[in-house]
Amino acid sequence: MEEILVPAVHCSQCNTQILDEQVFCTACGYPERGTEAQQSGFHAKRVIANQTTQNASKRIKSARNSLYVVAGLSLFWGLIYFFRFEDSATLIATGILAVIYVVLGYWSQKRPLIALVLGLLVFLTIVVIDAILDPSTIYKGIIIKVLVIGYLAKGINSAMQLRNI
Amino acid sequence: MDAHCSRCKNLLPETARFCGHCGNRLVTRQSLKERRSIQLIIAFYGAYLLYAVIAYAIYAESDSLFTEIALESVFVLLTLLFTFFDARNVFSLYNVVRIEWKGLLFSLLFPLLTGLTVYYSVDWLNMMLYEEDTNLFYDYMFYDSPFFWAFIFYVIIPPVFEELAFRGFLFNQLQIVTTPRITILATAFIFALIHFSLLSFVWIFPFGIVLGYLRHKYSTLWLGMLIHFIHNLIIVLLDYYYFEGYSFSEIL
Repeated sequence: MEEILVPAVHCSQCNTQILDEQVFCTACGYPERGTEAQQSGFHAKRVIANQTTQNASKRIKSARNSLYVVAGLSLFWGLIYFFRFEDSATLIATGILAVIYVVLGYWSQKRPLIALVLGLLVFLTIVVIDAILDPSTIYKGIIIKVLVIGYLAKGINSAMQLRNI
Repeated sequence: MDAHCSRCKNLLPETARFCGHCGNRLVTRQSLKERRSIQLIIAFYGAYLLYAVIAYAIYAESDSLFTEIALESVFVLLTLLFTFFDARNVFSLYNVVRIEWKGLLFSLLFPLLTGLTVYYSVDWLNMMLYEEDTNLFYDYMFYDSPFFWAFIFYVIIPPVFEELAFRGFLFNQLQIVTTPRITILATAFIFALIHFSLLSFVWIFPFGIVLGYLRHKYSTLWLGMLIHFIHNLIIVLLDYYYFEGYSFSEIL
């Protein structure tokens, strides 16, 4: 028996095959069999989506920069302690910490979500360890702490958004 | 398994990102799952941090057997609480699996090596850096049966519940958002981070990588528990041996 071959319709935007009774492309959402108004609406939406992607990338970049800033700050504190109290243990600890922040920041170019989550966890841990060692540090630099946590949280949120566009 | 569009109930192929009938953008189950996992990971870590602060504050006030039992119970309950968010997948890690003899032999020998190395190098470093001789039985000697309590708090609870928390719950959640290799690295990193000590970081991080690798390879928690158990047992036994050896005369 011979099958009747119907020429397959492909999406004009992403070249995915479109099933017979379907109006929209299931891969990119383009209304291949839709009205002209629907089709121009698709293009308008795509522009907005690009904007969203750009904004998300910007937030990830801010989060990355905040990791670099924190790296610089911890190294700075380490040096101050070293020169004022000749405390080399603190300098080594803050130095290693700075390296961890820089590595995570750099890695966030490739894997933003996991790198920023780990960055946030490291930062929270350091805040807590400082608070245990010296309770008065809770209020010190609270604005910087809130800003860093805020930037990292926004970056994590944007990284999740980017994965699903 | 095919799904249906949430708006027009059109039948959809599994790979669809949009409904072909009405154009509805489908929020994939995967993306919701990822978001939940990230939230759970952060909540999990935040809860343990909070626990650590509170435990530290309470220990500073009173350091009795009762406080230790109470705080360890909170740790156990906290771990179980998180486990229930993902109960089925975590409990399946306790299924009996076939482990080749190489894996088992490794799990018996590896903790012997780490237990001895870590014990003597940490002892040496404590002497070098802080000029103090540490032994956990200095804290436990006032209890009725020091060895029993040290055994419970160091040899039983950590292998069972730390493995459950990190190689069980945390590993499963990370696996949802990233690749197995990064899951192993990230679990080991977080496991080392929560120990709050730069010195411990040096050995806990690689130790965690080995445990994570075995968890990934065999999909079981039993090997991790075995390694963790032998490692901690060696450390407690050595501490007990040295404590009994030359501290008795000082105490009496």
